[in-house]
Amino acid sequence: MTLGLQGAPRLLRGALRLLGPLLVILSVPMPLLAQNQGRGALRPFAYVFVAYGLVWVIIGFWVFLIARRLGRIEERLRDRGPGATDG
Amino acid sequence: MPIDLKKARTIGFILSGSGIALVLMVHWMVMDWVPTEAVQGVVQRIFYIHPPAAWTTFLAVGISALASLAYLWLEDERADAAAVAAAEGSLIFGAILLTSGPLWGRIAWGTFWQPEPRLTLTLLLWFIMLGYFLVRGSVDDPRKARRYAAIVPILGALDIPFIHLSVEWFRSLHPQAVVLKPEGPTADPDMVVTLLTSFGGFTLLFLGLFTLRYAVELGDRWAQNLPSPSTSQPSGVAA
Amino acid sequence: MKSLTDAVLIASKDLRIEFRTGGRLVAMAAFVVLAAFLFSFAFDRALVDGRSLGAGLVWLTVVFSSTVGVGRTFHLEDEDGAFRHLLLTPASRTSVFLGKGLANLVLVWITSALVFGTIVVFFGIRSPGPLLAHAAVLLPGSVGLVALLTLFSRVSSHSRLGDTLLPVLTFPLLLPLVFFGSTASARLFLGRPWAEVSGPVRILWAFALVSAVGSALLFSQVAED
Repeated sequence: MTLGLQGAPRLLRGALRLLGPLLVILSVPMPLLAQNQGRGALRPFAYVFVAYGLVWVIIGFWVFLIARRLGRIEERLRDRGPGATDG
Repeated sequence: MPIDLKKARTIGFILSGSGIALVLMVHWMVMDWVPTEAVQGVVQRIFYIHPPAAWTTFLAVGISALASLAYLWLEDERADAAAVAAAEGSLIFGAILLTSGPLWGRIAWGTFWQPEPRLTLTLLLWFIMLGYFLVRGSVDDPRKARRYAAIVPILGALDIPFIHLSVEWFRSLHPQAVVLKPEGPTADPDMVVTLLTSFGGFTLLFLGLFTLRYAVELGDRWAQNLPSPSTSQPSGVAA
Repeated sequence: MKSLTDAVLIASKDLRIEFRTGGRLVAMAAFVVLAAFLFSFAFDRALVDGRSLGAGLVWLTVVFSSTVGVGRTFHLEDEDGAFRHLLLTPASRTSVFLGKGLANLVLVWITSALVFGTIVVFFGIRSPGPLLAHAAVLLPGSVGLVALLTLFSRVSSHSRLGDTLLPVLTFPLLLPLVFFGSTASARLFLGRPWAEVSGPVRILWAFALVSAVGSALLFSQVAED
């Protein structure tokens, strides 16, 4: 009986790979682009885009840190062999 | 094992997964669904992440302060792990608030920075929580490091009303050029729904990642204290 | 009552050492005079009003010099292991904290008076207002300041980062102190009545009370050798 940790980082990697294209599609705001044709009207839009992009960058950074440490524990448990994970 | 890692991992994944789903939904709502605010225009859309990030940051600081208090009192490893996990979350969500706020302000106020209560408080809390990690990392004795670090978020939480009072006074003495509030004058029901979805998404995302971080912290300490097969000397507990 | 007597005993012991060796006090005094002197060259007084600028600089100099001075609270006793013996005495940890804080408070008062005098002189403030009122503003400010600094100097004295850690930990907490202190002092410099100062002073007292009680309680939790 293992703790089921082995797949964790791979699972996260897979989730990010899946979310990536979805994010790109979602972040193209067609109606907004169509509404704002004036000069300089794209600047607020760029700021909104950067703000939302940073949310994912910052959250992604935390997820990366957590996943890396989870992977390290998992490695250590694997080194110990199945006996160590019974506790 | 001090914690059921598998269970914690499942809870963490479910919470953060639904949080991510909700935030993605907010993305769609913000980009294609919610009406544009009349006075501020497009940039008001930043508002759908700014207050939720603020709420999550303050929630994280609150959890960290309470867990630190519990650790000083009970000296339970779990309280310390919760305090670390929440403190890290407060830095992460504080960073979101501190980037989204100035970006909104650049358009709405014309400047990146104004002594707005939420921004000022978060900036100071961010540095207080940074100090928390500096203490943990720079005191050699791990037990001492934890106890010393625990006093930082507690005093930070005690200071919050005074900081808030200072900013309010400061603003009344130095009238601001622009009186635009992120909330805006209108409260279209669609806007409220978007904002509430965002609040839900950020909260779930934080709680999920917090659970994972908490489990990792406890699991890591446990794993590091195992006698290693290659070296007989167990490495020190991560502070 | 006993804890107060203990605190006074500890404070008088510390102050006796301080006045005999004089190291910390002389360094703090030299620091504030030099800082005020540098400040007087840093600003063009033809452009800014020395009175409102001076009030802010009084508080910043007090905060900076106290950080430097109070940061050394435990160094001497940690070096020869005397702090361990102090904890072994029947004096409670709260009275150890109060004693240490009281000794620091005396040092900060002396340097604050010096800061006030040098800023007034170097910035050419002709009528600084009633001295007693200024003291009534500095008193609660110094209590809050010293409480937080004394507590965190215990932390920084055990940290590898040493004295660089102290400002990082305390400055974010000191914003209310600097703001309300400067506001009150500036109003006094500008000759406003006490009624306009009492509001900030009351908040300073609340800050001092919360900081002192919080720091004393937390100190007894972390005061180990």
